[in-house]
Amino acid sequence: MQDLSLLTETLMFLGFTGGAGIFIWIGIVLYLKSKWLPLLEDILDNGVRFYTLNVFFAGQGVLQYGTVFLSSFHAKRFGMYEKRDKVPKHIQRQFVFAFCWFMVSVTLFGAAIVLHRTYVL
Amino acid sequence: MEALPSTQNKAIHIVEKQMPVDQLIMIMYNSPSENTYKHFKMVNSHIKNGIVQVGQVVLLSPADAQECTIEEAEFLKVAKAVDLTLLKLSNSEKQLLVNRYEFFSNIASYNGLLLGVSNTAWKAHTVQVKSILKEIERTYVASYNSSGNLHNRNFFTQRKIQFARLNAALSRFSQPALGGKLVSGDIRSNLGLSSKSIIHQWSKQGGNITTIPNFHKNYAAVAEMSRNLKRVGHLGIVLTGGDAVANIQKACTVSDSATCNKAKYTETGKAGASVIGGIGGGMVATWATCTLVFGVPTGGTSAFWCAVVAGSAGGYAGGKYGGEFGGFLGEELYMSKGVK
Repeated sequence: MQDLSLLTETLMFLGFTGGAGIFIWIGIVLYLKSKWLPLLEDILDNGVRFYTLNVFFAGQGVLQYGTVFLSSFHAKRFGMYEKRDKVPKHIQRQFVFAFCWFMVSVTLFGAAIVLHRTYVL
Repeated sequence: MEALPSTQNKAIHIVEKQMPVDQLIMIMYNSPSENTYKHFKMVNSHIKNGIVQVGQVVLLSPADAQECTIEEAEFLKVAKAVDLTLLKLSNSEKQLLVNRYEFFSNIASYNGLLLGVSNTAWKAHTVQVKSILKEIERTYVASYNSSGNLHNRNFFTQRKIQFARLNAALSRFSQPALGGKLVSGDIRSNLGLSSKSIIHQWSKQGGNITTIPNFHKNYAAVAEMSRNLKRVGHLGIVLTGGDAVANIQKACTVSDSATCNKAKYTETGKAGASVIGGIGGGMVATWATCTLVFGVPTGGTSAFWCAVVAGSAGGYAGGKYGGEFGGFLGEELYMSKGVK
């Protein structure tokens, strides 16, 4: 048996936490796809069905709408600044939460990969 | 065509046409000897009744090979798994697999996510074609029901836009041909949408019109391709998953139990982290490229391609580096557990 170094323990913490976070996020995307994504496509994209085509695009949709709800600049850029006010606040919060959850998880997992490539390889 | 990295100096070939096994050997080897015939049949003992079937995989060993190696024994397990899956496919599905096999085998070496992305892209392609077809049919029917003809300005404008969209969708690079009349070019004549003939049939039919005569065949072509892609995609995943399993089995067959246990940790870590890294990388790359940098509007061809290209590139990078990291984590975990 061998003791783990501080670096390895850090990498394991970042890798497992980030990996589990990304895995859970897929579940969140599936929930949002079935529950709210069609409604947001109706309100924000004039009913164009794109993000609800499949899970891959649904993931993109969650990040796209999360960005629109978080940033006025991007909302204006996509012509959704006024339209986003028509989306109930509790739905907006779910998309913002999913966006933040994904970004934190990916950052942890990405940091683990960068540290691994910098200090181990 | 090589599919599994562990079969160096050998090649995996996917059968493109049903034929006697002797004929396949003659095609694959330059003047094969008696030994080559014997060895080929021994290594590929999954071939039944001396006939190779479309979609079956066979292993091509060097012409002078005499003994059966570990890799060859491992290959047989993969070949049998493929045969089992092939039983569920129709002839047209098997042919599609043959046509797409090179693509599958190239990406199978990296991770399953890319396969998922490409399959997803194909599926999205068929969904989009189907929705444009529906719009075209609606435009024809609505024009006839409201004005009793198919030569008003509004109808021509809408039809022109929809034909252009369908043509663009059918011309997409690297998408599977949908078959039937669904080919790019002159959409109106390819789909057989002669206004005179349609109006003639509708006037004979009378009453409220809801569909274009014989147009349902186009939906059937799209539906069939969509089903084919789904099932062929599953087979591709069997081949991909076979890679990690084969590496573990190889380590457990050739080496001692410590190496075998270590392989279980490293290969599982590699496979898991490459999928997670692939998903993360693909999503981040698509979001950063399509949403942040280019601000691509939703639903158009640009959004579709931006997502596929950026997603594939990000997925590949994430899968590759994630896999390396996962292998390292697996090894560290194995050493810390002191598993012998």
